[in-house]
Amino acid sequence: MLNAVRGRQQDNVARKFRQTLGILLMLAVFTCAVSAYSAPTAAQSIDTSKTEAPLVALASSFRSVWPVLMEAYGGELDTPSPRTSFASSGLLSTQILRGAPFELFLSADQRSVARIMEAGKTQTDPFALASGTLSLVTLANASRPTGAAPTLEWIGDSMINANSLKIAIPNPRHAPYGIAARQALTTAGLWPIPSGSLLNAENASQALQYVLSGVASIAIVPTTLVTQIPFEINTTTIDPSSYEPVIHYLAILAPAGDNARKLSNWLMTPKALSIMMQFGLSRPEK
Amino acid sequence: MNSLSLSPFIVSFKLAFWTTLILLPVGMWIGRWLAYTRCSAKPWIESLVLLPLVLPPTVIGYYLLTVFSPDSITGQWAMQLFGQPLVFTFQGLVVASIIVNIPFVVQPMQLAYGSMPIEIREAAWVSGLSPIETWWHVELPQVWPGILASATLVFSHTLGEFGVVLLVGGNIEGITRTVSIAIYDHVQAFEMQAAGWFSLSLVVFSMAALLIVRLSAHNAVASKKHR
Repeated sequence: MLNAVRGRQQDNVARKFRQTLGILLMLAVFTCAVSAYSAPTAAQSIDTSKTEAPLVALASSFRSVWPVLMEAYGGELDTPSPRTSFASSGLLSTQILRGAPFELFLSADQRSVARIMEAGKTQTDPFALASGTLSLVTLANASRPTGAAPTLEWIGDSMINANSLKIAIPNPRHAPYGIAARQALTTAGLWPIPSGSLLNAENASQALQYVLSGVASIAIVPTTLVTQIPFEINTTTIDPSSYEPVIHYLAILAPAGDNARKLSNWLMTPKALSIMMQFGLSRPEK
Repeated sequence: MNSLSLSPFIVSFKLAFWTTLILLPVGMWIGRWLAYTRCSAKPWIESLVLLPLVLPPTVIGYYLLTVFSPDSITGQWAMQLFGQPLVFTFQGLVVASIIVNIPFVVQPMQLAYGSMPIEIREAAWVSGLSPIETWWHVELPQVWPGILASATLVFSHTLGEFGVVLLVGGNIEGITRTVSIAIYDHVQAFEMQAAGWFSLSLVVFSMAALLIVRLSAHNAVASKKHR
């Protein structure tokens, strides 16, 4: 009797083991197949990053310009394409302070690079790469009745006449373009924005997302983000004298290897600057 | 096509694979112990095990970021143990993922062991089976749907994990950028089509995973009725 029960149970276990082994094997084969398909970009340890593709942390305002820069860089120098991480400058500097293995940091503000420099996380003094401006953005079909581009005055009039107006800006608590946006709104006499009308986005990209998705009527974002963007939008550059200039810095971080230094040298060339200027950035004042 | 790199899938599947492989035996043991123990601290331990289920992932991520930071004493210990920092590395993601997924293994295993009548084990013992033999020949077939459910839940939940991965791993291409982080990144870069494809792949995989769990549960009920 016991032997019969044991035999049946052994069969049962064996059958279920085969099923599970089959599932695990399928998963393992799938993982290996996916790994093999694109082996060069597979997860690698940090040590190899020093000799291979450099790891670059970039402020969100570089999103549009970076692919064009890299296309030009790849055409000139035969080095591996850098691996990137886009976020707000404040968040990236916190990650660097916490031990993130980035080799280069392209920041949109001075405070973030100053923090990491004070902590001894840089190899050299940060380099002022370019200066950025702010733009007002609305959807092309939801702009002013006349179809004209938005202005800060229009925001003021609309806030008086329509409570439903929502303005999206990058969060001024940690995003440099958010700080500049707040300064521009203050200069125009529009700050503080009534509660319920202001949307603090996680970063510049998200502020633009709010407008593109219709959540916000208007956004204040880096000009570089809305230059050469494939969406129908109306933009106006905000008077640069109404806020402190947003200087973009390049910092070479402690883990930087040869390829990272090669890339940083190239980013300081006139050719790189000319590409950045096509995207609304300018040469920083000394 | 360049924007639709397979690298996030590799990171995600590797992460899910290692998390499941390491967590399953540990979770089975804790779940079994919790099902049978009469220890007075049981409600405390159960609450602790379930804590990652109710805590926002950012809370867990914040603590792990603080504990694993190379500037902290615990972070330096982790560096000595693993040979590199645990923040913003794949190894760190595995550790974080294991912590977040503990309830997804322990809970189904505890339920599976708890629903098994104690008489079955007693019958095995009086029939002369050793504890290991009892576990292998009697308990394992009984709790099998629980094991399958745990493994599937952990695997699919790891694929979809976002908050902890973003805080502890950052968003580093090829190292810590999982599928869910890649979706966020593509949306931020206005690459909605790529985000759509990644999202669809997660929907399909998660649906398949849940189907495995539900079908195995139905089969278990059906086979019990049949007996």
